[in-house]
Amino acid sequence: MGLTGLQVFKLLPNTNCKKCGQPTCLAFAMKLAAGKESLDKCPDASNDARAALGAASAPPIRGVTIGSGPRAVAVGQDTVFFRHEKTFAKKPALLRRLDARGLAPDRIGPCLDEWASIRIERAGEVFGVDGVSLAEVDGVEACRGAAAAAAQRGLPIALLAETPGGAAAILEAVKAHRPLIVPPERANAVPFAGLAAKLGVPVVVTGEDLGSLAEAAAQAAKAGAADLLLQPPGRDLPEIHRNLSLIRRSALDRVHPGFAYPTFLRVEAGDFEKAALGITKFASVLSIADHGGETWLPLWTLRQNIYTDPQKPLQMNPGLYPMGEPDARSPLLVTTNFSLTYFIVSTELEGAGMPSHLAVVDTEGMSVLTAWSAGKFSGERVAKALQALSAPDRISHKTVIIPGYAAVISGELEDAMGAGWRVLAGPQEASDLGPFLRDVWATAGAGA
Amino acid sequence: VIIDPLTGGLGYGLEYTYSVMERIRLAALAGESMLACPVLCLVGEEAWKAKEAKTPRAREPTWGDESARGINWEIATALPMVLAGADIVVLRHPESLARLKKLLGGWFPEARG
Repeated sequence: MGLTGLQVFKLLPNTNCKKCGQPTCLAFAMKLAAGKESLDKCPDASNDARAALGAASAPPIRGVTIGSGPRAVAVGQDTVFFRHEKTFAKKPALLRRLDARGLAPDRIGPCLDEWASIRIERAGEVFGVDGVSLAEVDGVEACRGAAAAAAQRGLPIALLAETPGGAAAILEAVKAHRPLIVPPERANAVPFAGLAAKLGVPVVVTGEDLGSLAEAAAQAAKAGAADLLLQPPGRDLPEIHRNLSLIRRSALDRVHPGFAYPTFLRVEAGDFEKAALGITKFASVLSIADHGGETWLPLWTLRQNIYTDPQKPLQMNPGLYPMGEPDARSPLLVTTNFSLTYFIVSTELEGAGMPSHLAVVDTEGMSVLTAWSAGKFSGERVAKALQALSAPDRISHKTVIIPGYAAVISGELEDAMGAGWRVLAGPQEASDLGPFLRDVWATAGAGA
Repeated sequence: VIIDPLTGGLGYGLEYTYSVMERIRLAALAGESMLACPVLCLVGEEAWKAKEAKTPRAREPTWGDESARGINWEIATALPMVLAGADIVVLRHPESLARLKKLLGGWFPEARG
């Protein structure tokens, strides 16, 4: 990171002594630059080289943790500007704004219980509310109660504060839970940073423009606050977008130490676009005022998409998935565990008007043709997988439908499945599954 | 010539299109003339294909109101495409069109309206 192989090479002794295990210093330098070797293996490295490489390998964006225990959220530590360069490291935390004034004190616990229990499973990830944000304007007493209730349930907390005194009163009792202090916009950073330092908790820094933001962050660090988040300045979304991008770029290029932190975004009620923009472009923690699934489901899904590691495909867990409410006479189809393949096939099957069983076979996340050509979707492997899923026990017939692109495995699969089994080659495109089930299965499959 | 990178809807391959488009634009800016063309994204059709955009609240209570959800689904598909450099975005719902146009006016004042 930061240094190229040639820059690293210039710092090495250039003796080609091979003590590091590499044939030349240049080869070792390339490995170092790629993060695949450690400078400790070079016995003759100078102190200058150690210092330069050490500084270059420190993460350009600090990791910050909010909350404690299993639900604590860690953000930051990203190393790239574009997701295709490597991957985005830590997905943004989505905090839900709790109205401590509008809710009666005895309603806060049940409300938090409900939020904490939300679990929506999608493509191997479980979506949930990452934490809560409280606002001091709702009243210090109400917030103190809500903060205690959230901490008790292990939910991370952000406090949208008004005054250092109010924030101290609300957070003192839950400081061990590492709540995030969010000062009002354009507040003097120092008193809030001082409070954060005293409580040992993370704090947000604001500024009128990027220059004053970086300055404020430097001041907050000087005041003893180590874990900072930056709130990008901006009156409208294009400006916020530009500043989020510039903060990320400045952090990666190490322009100013004040930019080397994750970011924070406030999303008011009805501002779905701001949340979607923030998730796509570098926001690390978002406080979201809206509560409904119509806001959260698209945002969770967007986060899942953007933060998927582009180096490895999103995979489904292998298994036998019911499409609708199938019974023993329903058709059995088989496909790969590449999540896109699964989504497209399952969407078509669910809309086909005929319930079915969909067997998802582990192909290491490859699509049908890729998996077949890599030998991961051979007749033998598919047969083994179907047996492992006990798929034959769930149906009264002996017919299995395979993707049209893998029609060539039909014979091998029939042999591997054993006597009486029949393999039907389905359509090549998932969009033809509905007509296929209506026409081919209804005549050739069902009676068999 | 206009490039259609085959838009993946939100939750259905959006990330592939998003990164492909970022790479197309970076390559074009670096002088790759074959990729220096405007990009078209057929967002509406793909976004509204998703079951998450249409399934009624009665069937999935935690998913919330379906009419607002569908529009948000379309916007959350379109916005990353715009951020990755889409030049023409085809939408379906008049409300997502209006909301996106309002937003784009901030980036491109001549597109306001």
